[in-house]
Amino acid sequence: MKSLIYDFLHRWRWLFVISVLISLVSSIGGKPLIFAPAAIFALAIDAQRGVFRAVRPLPISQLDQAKAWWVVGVPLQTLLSVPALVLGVFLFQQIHPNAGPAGYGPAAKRVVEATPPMEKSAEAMSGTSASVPEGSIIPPPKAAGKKPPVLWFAAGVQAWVALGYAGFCFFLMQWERTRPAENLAEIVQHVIATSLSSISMLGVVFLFIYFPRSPDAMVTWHWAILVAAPVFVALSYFSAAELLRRRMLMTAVKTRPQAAAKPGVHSRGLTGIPLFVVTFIGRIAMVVSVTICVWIVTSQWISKGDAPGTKPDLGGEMRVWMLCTILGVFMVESIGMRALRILPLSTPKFALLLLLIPWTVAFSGAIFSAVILRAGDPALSVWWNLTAHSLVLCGWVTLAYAITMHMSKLARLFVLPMISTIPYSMFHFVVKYPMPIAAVGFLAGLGGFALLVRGLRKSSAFYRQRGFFGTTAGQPTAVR
Amino acid sequence: MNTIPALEVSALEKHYPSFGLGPLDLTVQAGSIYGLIGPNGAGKTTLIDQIFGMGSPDAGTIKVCGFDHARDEVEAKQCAAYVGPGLNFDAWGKIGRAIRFNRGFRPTWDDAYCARLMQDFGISVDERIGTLSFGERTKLSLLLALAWRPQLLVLDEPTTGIDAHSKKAFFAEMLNIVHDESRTVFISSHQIYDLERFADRVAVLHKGRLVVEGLTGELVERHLQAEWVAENIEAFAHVPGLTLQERDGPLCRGVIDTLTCPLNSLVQRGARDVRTQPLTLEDLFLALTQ
Repeated sequence: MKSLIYDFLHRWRWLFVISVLISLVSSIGGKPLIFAPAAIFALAIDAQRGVFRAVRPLPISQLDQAKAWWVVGVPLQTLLSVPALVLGVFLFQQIHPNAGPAGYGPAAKRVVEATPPMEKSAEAMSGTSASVPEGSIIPPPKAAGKKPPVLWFAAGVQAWVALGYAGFCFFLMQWERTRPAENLAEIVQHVIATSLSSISMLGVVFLFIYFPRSPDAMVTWHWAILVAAPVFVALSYFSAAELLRRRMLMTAVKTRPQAAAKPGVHSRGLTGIPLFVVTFIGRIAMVVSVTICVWIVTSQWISKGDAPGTKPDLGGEMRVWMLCTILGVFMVESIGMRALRILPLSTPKFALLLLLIPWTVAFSGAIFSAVILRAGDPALSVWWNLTAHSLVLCGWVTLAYAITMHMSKLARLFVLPMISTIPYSMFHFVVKYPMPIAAVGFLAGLGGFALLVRGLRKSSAFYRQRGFFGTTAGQPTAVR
Repeated sequence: MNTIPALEVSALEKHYPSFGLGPLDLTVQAGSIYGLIGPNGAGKTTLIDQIFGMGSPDAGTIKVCGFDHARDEVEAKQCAAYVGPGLNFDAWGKIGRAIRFNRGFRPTWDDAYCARLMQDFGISVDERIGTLSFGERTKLSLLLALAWRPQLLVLDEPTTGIDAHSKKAFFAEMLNIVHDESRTVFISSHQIYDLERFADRVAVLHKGRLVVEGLTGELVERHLQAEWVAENIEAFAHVPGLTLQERDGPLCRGVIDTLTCPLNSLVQRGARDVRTQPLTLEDLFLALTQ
């Protein structure tokens, strides 16, 4: 068991180093944060690559193997991050002896200084410093629903939620799709598990960033998550053996007798590109639903306090953009490139065929932000805003896809989110200056398209087996 | 008889940091079965990938049925089909959908032929592609390539993982293709015994270069396994057409190409007690690629 854990630590040491550094740096900055998905994400990749199956014949009991996977999937990340959090908080307190977490607490007290008349009058208009004598120390303004947090509380909550989150994801893993569904019950099971996994995997970064850092800011749902954490940890521990068993399952028999093939039986209905489009509409709808769920969970629930007048977090639209970029690329990566490349299509047409999917996802995101959420320049009509959002999103998703396709190794899993943060960070500029930024997006799209066409022609990496994104990469799904 | 070669590769080169293919010249005449054999990592798949635009050559040209593979890529792919590793049709869910998708790109698709192939290969339209075994996936790839009757069929390890019955059906189809319809098959395989039986011409690729190429029967006939005794072994070190395999004292063992290295040339260099025996294609392959 120990050898499996050490092996996992050794293979993913770079990821753990990064995650521990994130915890340390964020704590030193007064905002403790655990990069919770690291270990469970690594475990999911290992499962996809068939590591569970590869170690199965080793002289380690099945129970010990299950325990080892549970240890690396659930408590490991928290165990590694907690010392970094403690050290970070300690250092923060040494650096800022009278301080609380960044932006709150005693450190945020300010000395009222002489201000230019204009600023003073503006402050007076806002009612924050009226009749406060110069030189006096005033406490920070109490924002609705936010009170000074306790730094140790913030660190503890992060560790606690990270543990529960890992337990939840580990528990879900046993229900995820490892082979094609053979009946309706399995289809429903796969859809539910995959959707929940996607939401939790994608939403978790936002969950940890926006989770309250003081007891006063906690609302019922936050406390419910804290209470649920040990339940999921326990559930995950007891489901470890079942997870291993399910991951070993193979499709044993054909589910129905072979029907005699008749001429023309497969010639009805759509063919070619229209069939391609129809095949992916369902999957695109699922991706869009997941994105909307993440938006609801993170923007309308997690980051919303229960104090009257508290507004939902307005970063939700940005997160939709980021997810659209990631998921759009993610979807198209799962298609067998070699099977499509041999079709009689010119390279630019082939590139357009591939881009149909991420563009549809990106356009759905643009509709969501510009039409449904009405984010954008109020001076412009909704259609102009939609055009601007579409150009930015489609442009960046094209560039992101072209860049990540040039990499067939796992490094692209980390490059893709980095590229996806570009439209994310551009969101506020799009709202302020929609047309210039749309032009930037358009240019990014043109560049991405040219890069994609070049890669399709010249790069062998495009046609290599791609780990993880391809749904069954590395994991044999059926043996007969 | 079509005079345009089905496949014409001229001075082809492709270089990777750890491997280089070529320069390679190869011509496959229409209406024949052409076998390409080589050890793992010899460059067979790299060569085939270049034909279908999965990576571009660093130098040289490839013509498929007279069309330049890069400039006239659509026309080239309209006359050539491909079966090889890594063809993933999982995205289509069921076999029927994969067939319908491919059918949309192939105006010459033959439904009746497709149905017959499905019966021969034992697969059906309702089966989920995700539940297919490795061999059945290969059969699906073969079906999708054969059912539109391409002029050139390029096969990269097509019989790996398929059972004896399906292999028999596959080779029967291959013979039908070339003999009844004057079309061409370019096949890369490790099944040397099968190639010896079916291929009109074979080429041996080793470390990115063609070691030998010619009519299958002629290649086997003109190469001999030879054993001889010689005191001056250095005299046989770099003889064109002689591949030295073993030396045990004065006893030497090697393969000779009688076209470039007649038996009497060995005697002239001091060989005595020369004994020869015929080779199979597999023996020849092993000798040339050791």
